[in-house]
Amino acid sequence: MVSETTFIAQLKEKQTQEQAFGTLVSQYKERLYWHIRRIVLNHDDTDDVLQNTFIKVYRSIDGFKGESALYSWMYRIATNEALSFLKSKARKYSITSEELQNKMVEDLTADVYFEGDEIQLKLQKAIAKLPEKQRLVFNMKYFENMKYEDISKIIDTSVGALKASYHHAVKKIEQYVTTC
Amino acid sequence: MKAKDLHKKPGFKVPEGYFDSFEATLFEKTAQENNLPKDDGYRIPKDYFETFDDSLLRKLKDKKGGKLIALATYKKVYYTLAAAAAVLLLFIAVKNSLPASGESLYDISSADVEVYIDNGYVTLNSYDIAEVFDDTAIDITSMTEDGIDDENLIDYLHENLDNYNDLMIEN
Repeated sequence: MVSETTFIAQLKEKQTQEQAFGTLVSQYKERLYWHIRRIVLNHDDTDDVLQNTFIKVYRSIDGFKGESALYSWMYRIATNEALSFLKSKARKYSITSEELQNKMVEDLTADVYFEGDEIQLKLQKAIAKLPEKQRLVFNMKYFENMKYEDISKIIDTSVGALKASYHHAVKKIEQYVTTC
Repeated sequence: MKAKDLHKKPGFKVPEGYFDSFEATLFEKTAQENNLPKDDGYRIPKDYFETFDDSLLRKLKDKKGGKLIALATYKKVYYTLAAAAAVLLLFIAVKNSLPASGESLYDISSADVEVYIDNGYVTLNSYDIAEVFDDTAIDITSMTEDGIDDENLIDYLHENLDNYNDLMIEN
C-alpha cells in the first residue's frame, strides 16, 4: 500500500494520473456517496453531486497542497457540493432552505430507495429540522462514526464546538421523536 | 492532609485518554439510550457502485469539451466601451500627428487609418487608454439594466471553476 504522499504525487503526474484517479474513486466512492446522501436525501441527486465532486477533485488535484489529508479535502468538496446543490434547488423552487428540507423529507415516503419504517422516517424528519451545521455534525458522528478531529477538518469547526453541537442535536432529536 | 487536598494524594491514575474521550462516550450512550435507529433507511439501486466508475468516466470525457455559460451582457458592454475608448484615442493620436493643413479627420478615409495602424505608427498601451477616462469609479452594474443575475453567476462558478481550492478556507 503506497503512502498518501506517493499517491498524491501519482494523482498529479500525467502518466499515472488516470490509474491513480481510478483507485481514488474506488476507495472513496461509497463513503462519499453516503455522506452526500444524508445531505441531499434523494439517490438521483446524490449520484449527480457525487459525480460532480469527483470531477472537481480531478480538476483541482494539481492545486492540492497536502496541508490536510486527502480524505478530509475530498469530504470538504463533497460537503460543499451537496450544500450548494441544495441552495440551488431551493432557489429554483423559490423556497427557503427550511422549506426545501421539509419537502425532501416528505418526499421520502414515496421514494423507492427509502425503506425506513415509521421511527426511521421520524428520525429523518427530526434531523431535517436541525440547523445545517448540527445536521452535518449529527450525520457524520452518529451514522458515519467519524472522529471529532476529522469532522473538525471538514467543516472548519473546533472539536469542542462540535461536541456541543452533537449534544444539542441529540437532545433536539430525542425531543422530536418522543413528542411528535 | 486536609480534606480538600485528598484528591492530590499520589497514586490515583486514570486510563490514558480517558478525559479526552469521556464526552464522546457519554453522548454516544445518550443517543443509544433514546433508541434511535442506526440504520437511516436509505437504499441504492442494484449494482450502483459497480457501474459508477464507468458513468463518471463518461461524464469526465463530456466535461473536457467544456461549456460556456453566458453571463449577463455586462461583459459585452464593457468590451464595447473599451473598444470605443481605443478608437477615440486612435483618432486623437492621428489628428495630432497630422500637419495643420486645414484638413479634418473626416477627410481621411478609413482605409488610410487602417494602413496607418498596420504600419505600426500608432503605439497605444493600456495607460494611454486609461488617460482618456477620468478617475471616477465605474460601477459595472450600472452598465446594464438588469445587472448580473445571481443564478447565472453561481451556475457559472459551479460549472467553470477548476481550481476549487481558491474558494475553500483551510482549517
